[in-house]
Amino acid sequence: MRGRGGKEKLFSDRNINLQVRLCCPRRNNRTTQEPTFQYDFPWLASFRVPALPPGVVLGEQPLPPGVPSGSGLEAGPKAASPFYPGCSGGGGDCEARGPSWSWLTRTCGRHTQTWPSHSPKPRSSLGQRRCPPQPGAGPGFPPRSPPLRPAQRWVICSSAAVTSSRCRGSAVPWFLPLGGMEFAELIKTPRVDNVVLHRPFYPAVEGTLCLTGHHLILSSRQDNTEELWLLHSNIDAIDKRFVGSLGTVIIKCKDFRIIQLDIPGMEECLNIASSIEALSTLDSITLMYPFFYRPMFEVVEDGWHSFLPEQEFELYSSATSEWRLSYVNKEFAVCPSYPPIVVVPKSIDDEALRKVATFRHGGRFPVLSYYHKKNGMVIMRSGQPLSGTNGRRCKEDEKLINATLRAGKRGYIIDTRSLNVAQQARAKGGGFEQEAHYPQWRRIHKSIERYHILQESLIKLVEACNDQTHNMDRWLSKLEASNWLTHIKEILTTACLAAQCIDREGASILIHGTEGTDSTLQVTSLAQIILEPRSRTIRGFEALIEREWLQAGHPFQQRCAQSAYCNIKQKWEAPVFLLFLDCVWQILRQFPCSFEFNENFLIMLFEHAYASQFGTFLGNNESERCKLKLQQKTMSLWSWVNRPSELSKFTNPLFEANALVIWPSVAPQSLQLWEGIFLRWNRSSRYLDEAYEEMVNIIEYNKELQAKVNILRRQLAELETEGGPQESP
Amino acid sequence: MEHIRTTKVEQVKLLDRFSTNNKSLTGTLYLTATHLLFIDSHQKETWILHHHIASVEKLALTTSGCPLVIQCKNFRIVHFIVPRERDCHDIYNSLLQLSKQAKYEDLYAFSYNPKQNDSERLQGWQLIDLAEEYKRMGVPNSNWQLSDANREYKICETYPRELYVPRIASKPIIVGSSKFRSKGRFPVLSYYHQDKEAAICRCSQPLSGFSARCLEDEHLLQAISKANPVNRYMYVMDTRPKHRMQSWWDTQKDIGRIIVRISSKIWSDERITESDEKKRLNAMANRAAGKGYENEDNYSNIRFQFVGIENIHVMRSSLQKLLEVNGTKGLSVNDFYSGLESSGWLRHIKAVMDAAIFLAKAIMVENASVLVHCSDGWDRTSQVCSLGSLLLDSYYRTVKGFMVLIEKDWIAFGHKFSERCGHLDGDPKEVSPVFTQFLECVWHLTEQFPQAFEFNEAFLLQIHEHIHSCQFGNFLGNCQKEREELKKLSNAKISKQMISLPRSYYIQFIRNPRL
Repeated sequence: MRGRGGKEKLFSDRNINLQVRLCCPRRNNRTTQEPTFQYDFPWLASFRVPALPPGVVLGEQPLPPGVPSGSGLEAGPKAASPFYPGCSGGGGDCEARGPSWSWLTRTCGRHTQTWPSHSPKPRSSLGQRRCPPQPGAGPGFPPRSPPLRPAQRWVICSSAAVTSSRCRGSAVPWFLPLGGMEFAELIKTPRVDNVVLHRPFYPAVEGTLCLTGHHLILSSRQDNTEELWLLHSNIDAIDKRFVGSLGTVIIKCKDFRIIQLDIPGMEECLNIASSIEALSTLDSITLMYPFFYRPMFEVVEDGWHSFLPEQEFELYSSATSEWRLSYVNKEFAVCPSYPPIVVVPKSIDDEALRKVATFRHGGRFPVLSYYHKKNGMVIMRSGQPLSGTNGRRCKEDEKLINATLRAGKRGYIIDTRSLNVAQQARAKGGGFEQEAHYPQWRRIHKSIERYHILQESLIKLVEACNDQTHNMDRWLSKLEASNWLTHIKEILTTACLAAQCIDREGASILIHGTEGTDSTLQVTSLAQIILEPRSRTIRGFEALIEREWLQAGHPFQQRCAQSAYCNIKQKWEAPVFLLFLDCVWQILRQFPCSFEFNENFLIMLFEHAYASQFGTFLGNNESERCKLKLQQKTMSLWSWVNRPSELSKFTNPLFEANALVIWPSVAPQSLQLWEGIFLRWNRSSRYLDEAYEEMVNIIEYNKELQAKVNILRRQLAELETEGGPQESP
Repeated sequence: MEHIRTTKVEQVKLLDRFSTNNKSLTGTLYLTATHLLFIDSHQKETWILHHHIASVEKLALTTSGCPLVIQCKNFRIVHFIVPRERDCHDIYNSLLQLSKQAKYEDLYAFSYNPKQNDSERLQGWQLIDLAEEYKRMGVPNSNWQLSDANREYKICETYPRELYVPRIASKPIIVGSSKFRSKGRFPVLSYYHQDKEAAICRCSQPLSGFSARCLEDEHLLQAISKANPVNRYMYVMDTRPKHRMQSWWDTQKDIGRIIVRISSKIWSDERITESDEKKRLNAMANRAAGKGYENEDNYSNIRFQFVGIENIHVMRSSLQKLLEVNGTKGLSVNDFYSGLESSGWLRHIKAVMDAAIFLAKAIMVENASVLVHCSDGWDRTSQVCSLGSLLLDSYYRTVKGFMVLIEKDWIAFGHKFSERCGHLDGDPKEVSPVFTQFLECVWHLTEQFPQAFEFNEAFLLQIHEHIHSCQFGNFLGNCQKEREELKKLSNAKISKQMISLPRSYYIQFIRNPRL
């Protein structure tokens, strides 16, 4: 899928799947030095035919005619177009935008009340209106490059195909539609000519529309123009309209982008629309793109093995001996949503764990989430206790959580539901810990919303952001009515409370809601961001996602099935993960130097959670992922991200390791709308991107100068020591 | 000095606004002739200039002492707890007196001695030369000339001495036009766009009552229009909201209705029908329309444009509401946003920006000259003209250029800084955050185009401090004439400076000079 608007020209005469990204000239100079370049053209070194995915049929490809040749391979390096369209240099950098540069302009008055710190949306409109279109930017240069670029990797067929297309002397947009048997019948019309594409910020482009098993591709088949590649799984909803025989399909993506395709011919239009609809709502996970995607980059490190629970545990085990790894859930029998390996108090044996599991919702017995090395306090998480109306108790459960307390100490239980909701849950067999049975624990109720309330909030917010009526009052009241920032505030407040219990009160905590798979995870993971410097690094944050979201059993498949545009009401969708990312962004904005990653990293995670070529976010829990054999059949997101070329785009240039606990402000005055996500397609971020890039350059230059200074100082010291003895005699 | 009874109070607590659990610092409070100074136990100093104090409040006595809350014009709020009520009362009374001076001579600028000699001080006053600035724009030229009509402030007291007008506008025309315009503020050049040969001009509202014409004024507008060889038409931008005009209209109509009624009684014309009354009313209203804004029939090739920027009173209460919302602790998100919305502050900011964008577009896209006015032509007109020029000309986005812009469109053209900032103890209804709004609009632009500006937020904040501080002569007084008198009054001892920060504090490092 094109994460952020395709800008690459995909093919010309000689290269089959060479995607030439067009950069604006200003940004080219850096891209040429891109070290990943050598991976970019694998067939140049050794032409390999990658294994074809199962079910892919090689056959006669549609060969659209007539594109002038001569801008092919040689254009690649010159035009500074790394193979990953937009992956490096200009695109990558221009993608990098964020509030973090703002510290330069904000040397004082960081939180001055004078300037309302929240950004009214009309700023955007002003900005756009103020600037006449910049012809120099090149036609259709998108504001940011798509982060999901490996998705565009296409299957190379054979060298014969290369020659044949060359012999014909036509530069042919030539690709292999990954149309296996499964998809062939769904694609009623694989190709339509003269389709006009409208999308944010760019002039309309006319071209050929192709549907493949997983992508919607629009190519203008001309030099210097870019293409659109859209992963079907990124499509949230589509609308059709007809004016005469001209049909219009409006595609609304899960990343909140809206594009429009004008398709001549009513039948074609209907066919395309129904094909897209069918392909974007495939039932079977195994038909999803990750199972067909073959990476063209060199895998330095297999992401599936990057963050093993054993390794993570070692980080704690050096500091404490009170905890152990338990393999009680090896067959996923005790708790289907837990990973095979969990961390539990050493004094509790597996048999007790089995008993506790029957007392907790979904078998989610209390496990270790975080160990605070500073004072040995811990965060545990679980499902709700199944005390029911008759106040059932479980001695093993009490023993388990009491085992984590130091003598004479009290702990806190943070219930992410209000007391009312928790009491109502008893009627359904759930409940909360009774004071009588847990005398050493104090229970605090916080109210974090779930499910459809969050989903509706997201829908309202995105609708407000897409509303182009320029009226300040309307915008503010819509923003308010969406309640999105209220949810952010609630989650952050609860996370701060948890962190406060650990760091300030010196008390251990247990966090749970109902299932312990949504708000619980938001709170435990945010508390760790606040408390632990490691989770503010890139690898640490990845480990946190792996541990607290993927292994802890957040049902990504259910929650991220639909996004803000879907009309069909389904019960399980909720932007829980997006809210978490938004909260992280709020903290990042308040502490711009304490995070190793930047805003783009969070945006990238958001996109991949909803639609991806990687298998990381597939499935609802570890047990499902095991059954799907994701490790064998798909590529991990971390394998791609953790390569130096990608990491450079996600690294925050302002990062300085900060070993302290960071306490974010949760006052509504301090919370802002995450423009990088919600206004991304409504206003161009070009000027902010350029400013960010400039800031990166300044910081790099500064580092170079620092290094020079150090060398000179050393030389001076050497000269002085050499000169010293000579002078003395 | 006579107002100061207690100069030093020990064991005073300063509450930390940013801590959640009401932490405080203990230290000593000193009261000097110009500042309130608090030194805490770590020797950290907190200085508050008396002129910065917007309000002082003495709260009810508590067990720990007597709380004293000081609100500053730079929106800072300081919360002291003075152990003895007597001390607190003394300080309270002194501050009340010191923060509201009655005479210009008592302002800080008259006593401030920045340790510079006469030549340095003179340099400060000559740093910004507006004649130089007009030369940079390309005037005088074949279409525009310097007029000496106002050399002795004879035509308009609130305008500067040097004014640029169309070459074909003769002195009688200028004089005639100035009589037609409120406070004599006739249309003059504010900014000339050299490439487009279009101009931004400014004036005040026409004053004509029921005789809705002034031929000289019409001639002057024609002259402005003709001074632009590229475009036939020009815009007249009335920055006031139309609904205000409407309510003015309505009062006119009411008067008209009474007149019609009376006249019908006088003529004892019983047969006067409802429709007749309406016809007469409309005619009357049309004539009445001559006041307030120009009658379109009398001005050819002129397009009228209304942009709704509210008046100073609305802006003042809007800021008040905004500060209340921003200062409240423990708000819910919804309360905050509904408070923000009902304050209307951002709506007003957007209105100013919209007007400036319209102005910039008229010049860039349509090549048309624009005449901007509001009521008196020194508040909203200054906002729109200066912001429009800032959008058009990158020079104004440099440090020097921004100072020139303020000097030109605000100081020289008579924005009433002393009244709007409440430098002296005067009419509170004249106080309004007009200039603050301008700075905020610029700030919004710096956020959207970070590389387009040579300065950063600190620069804007610093200027905002100094419009209230009365430390330098720049912003003293209400117009150039008054400022010259003040300078004489001080024996030219006032120094002039807009910024008292080292350059590295306010320079935008990521500037891209091409923007």
